[in-house]
Amino acid sequence: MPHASVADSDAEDDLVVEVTDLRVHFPIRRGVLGRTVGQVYAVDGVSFHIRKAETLGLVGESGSGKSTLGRAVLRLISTTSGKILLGNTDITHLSDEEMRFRRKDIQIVFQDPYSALNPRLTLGASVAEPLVVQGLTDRKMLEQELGLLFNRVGLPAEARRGFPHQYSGGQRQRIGIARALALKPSLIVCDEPVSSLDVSIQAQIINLLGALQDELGISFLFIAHDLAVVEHISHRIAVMYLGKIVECGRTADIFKNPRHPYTRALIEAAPVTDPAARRRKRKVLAGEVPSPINPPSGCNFHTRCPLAMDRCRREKPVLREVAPEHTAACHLIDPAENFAP
Amino acid sequence: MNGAINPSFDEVHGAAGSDRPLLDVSNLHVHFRLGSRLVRAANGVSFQVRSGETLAILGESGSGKTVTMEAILGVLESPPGHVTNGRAIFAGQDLLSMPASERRRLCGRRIAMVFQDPMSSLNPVYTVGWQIAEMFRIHLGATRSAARREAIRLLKRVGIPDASERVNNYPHQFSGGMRQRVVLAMALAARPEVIIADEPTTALDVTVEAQILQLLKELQAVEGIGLLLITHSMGVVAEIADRVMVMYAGRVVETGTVNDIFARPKHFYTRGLLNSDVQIGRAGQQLTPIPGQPPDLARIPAGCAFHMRCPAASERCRSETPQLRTIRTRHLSACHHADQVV
Ligand SMILES: Nc1ncnc2c1ncn2[C@@H]1O[C@H](COP(=O)(O)OP(=O)(O)OP(=O)(O)O)[C@@H](O)[C@H]1O
Ligand SMILES: Nc1ncnc2c1ncn2[C@@H]1O[C@H](COP(=O)(O)OP(=O)(O)OP(=O)(O)O)[C@@H](O)[C@H]1O
Ligand code: SF4
Ligand code: SF4
Ligand SMILES: [Mg+2]
Ligand SMILES: [Mg+2]
Repeated sequence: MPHASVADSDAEDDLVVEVTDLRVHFPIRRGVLGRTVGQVYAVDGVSFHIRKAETLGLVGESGSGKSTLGRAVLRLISTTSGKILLGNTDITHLSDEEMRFRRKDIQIVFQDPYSALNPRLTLGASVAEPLVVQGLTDRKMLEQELGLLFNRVGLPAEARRGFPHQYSGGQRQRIGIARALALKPSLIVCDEPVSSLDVSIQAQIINLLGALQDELGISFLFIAHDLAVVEHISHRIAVMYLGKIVECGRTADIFKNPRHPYTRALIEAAPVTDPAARRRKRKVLAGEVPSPINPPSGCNFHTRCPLAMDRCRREKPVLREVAPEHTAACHLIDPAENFAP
Repeated sequence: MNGAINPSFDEVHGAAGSDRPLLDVSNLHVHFRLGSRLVRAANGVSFQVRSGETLAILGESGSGKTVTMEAILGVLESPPGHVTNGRAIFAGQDLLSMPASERRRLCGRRIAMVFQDPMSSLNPVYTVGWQIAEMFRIHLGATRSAARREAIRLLKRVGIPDASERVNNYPHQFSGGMRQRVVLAMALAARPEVIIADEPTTALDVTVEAQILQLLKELQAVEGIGLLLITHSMGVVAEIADRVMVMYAGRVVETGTVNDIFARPKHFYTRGLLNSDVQIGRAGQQLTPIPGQPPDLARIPAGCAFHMRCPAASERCRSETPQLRTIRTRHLSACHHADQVV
């Protein structure tokens, strides 16, 4: 559940990250000359912000651009255009050297805790690595810091001497989190951190992330395709489809009053864990996500949207404010359409 | 679909008379010998599937779900895997004591398999139409042109648009969800009595998962097929199952109707799973995860395998292995303190 709502304050200086009109296009090259024959519009004009101690959930189906967006915010991949403000610093064009000094403010936790850890390093060495890189070399202080970090993520201090293969997926994910916490970042991008874990372990990690936010005031960009997990952990939610945010708002508003047909379809499609509430005939969204190489014209959801109109095939809808802190990009929201979905 | 369950059958021993289960598995044991380690992946698994019913096997990773199925169908990797005990009665014969070739012939036609990765069932070098038609030719002896017509009919049946065109496409020309539809079409081709689906929607997006579940449910009800659905998703179980069998450390720990399992679980592990599950509309509620992690199957704890994680474990739980017993009609639990589960 979203924790202590520091997020309610909207003072400007509370912003930990602010992204404006970000685009990440991957060129598709063919032939021996590697000529560019097209573009993958992986992230295509995305804007959002995250406040201190706030969790922004990012949901969307496979290929919608969530990981690309997360990596771009970390500057792990370069952006095609747009702006990323980390605190008050524009990091969009920082050199790798300059980025090194900001790196500690923003960390990432990956889906697959196994591949994220070096199998030959002890868990202690893995977690200590970022500390050492940042100049903490005093043996005793390092050990003390490690003890605190392991403790914080719910692992026994002895685990420092173990190797990744000796630990389960959930325990390895705790190590991934300890490593991300080591430099006391203001923002952690969590890219599907619980998707590969069993339900019983998933719940442990979700609780851990919530507790860490309460204690340390960290902000999260929490990427997942599981709507229930995102609802549980986020203060606000952004819904992505084919490289664009189609709706963004406070968690309760997104679930109680979704305004975009895609958001509604996602909520409708999520299995309900209550056989008594089983729907005889579900409204199931037809078709699948089209390729981001040649996204559909106009509203790129029109090929699947049950409410698509002529205008949708021609004209791209823009994100409009539908309520305070609630935006959606759908022509039906345009007052000119005179139709309240 | 609940109407498809005959209320008179006995869960453990199989019913007498006309209401025979399609598939009746009892006391299945599967071990893997890996050097000095003996991995006990299935430890006395029993269950039955009847026509027109969906039995979901629910369990976390490594609980023995896939191994149980592999053993029944004779596709277990062996060595290192060995069936050390058990019976699996299908069509009046014990699959486990049948020669491999005979078992494959019997199962190939009458028991269909659907896996998580559709590409494991599809051949990339043949068109999907050819592959479906092949099922008709092999199993039903259809002529080439009749088989092709049937392939198109089935592609339509599983919701592939422009089926008469797409029948000529290769698997790589389909998306993940469409491939899984093709696999379902192939599964249906031989008119199976049982479909065993191992995490058929785990790799799919939620909107596509919803489409495939709906399709499975519909096909199974209309064709009267017995569906054995392996999953770790409680949402999927709640959506589609008639009955549920919960596995932990290679054992069946609870089985019952889907309503009983979700509303009145009688095993602390099932209760823990339900408490851990993140559900839409309950964002304000605290999650109470099961502490710790599942045991290593080479070192399963004595007594109840769950005792180290169980909030109600007693001395007896640490020493005596609980057996499945009937708690109420069609509801069995292997918990010494089943009456304390709330
Ligand atoms: N390095 C790359 N080069 C070319 N295309 C890429 C690259 N990285 C990602 N893509 C493409 O960009 C699109 C968005 O991918 P991304 O991984 O961001 O999606 P996602 O929302 O994280 O999906 P998933 O839920 O499957 O993780 C996809 O079509 C993907 O194939
Ligand atoms: N070919 C094999 N060789 C050795 N051990 C195996 C083999 N196949 C399965 N096992 C072991 O058997 C146990 C049960 O595995 P199984 O695949 O049945 O689990 P599962 O319940 O299907 O899990 P998942 O949800 O991850 O698919 C595991 O401990 C696994 O390591
Ligand atoms: S703009 Fe049109 S196609 Fe897009 S979501 Fe709205 S109604 Fe549907
Ligand atoms: S038998 Fe004992 S340890 Fe096992 S689930 Fe029941 S109470 Fe818990
Ligand atoms: Mg991703
Ligand atoms: Mg499996």
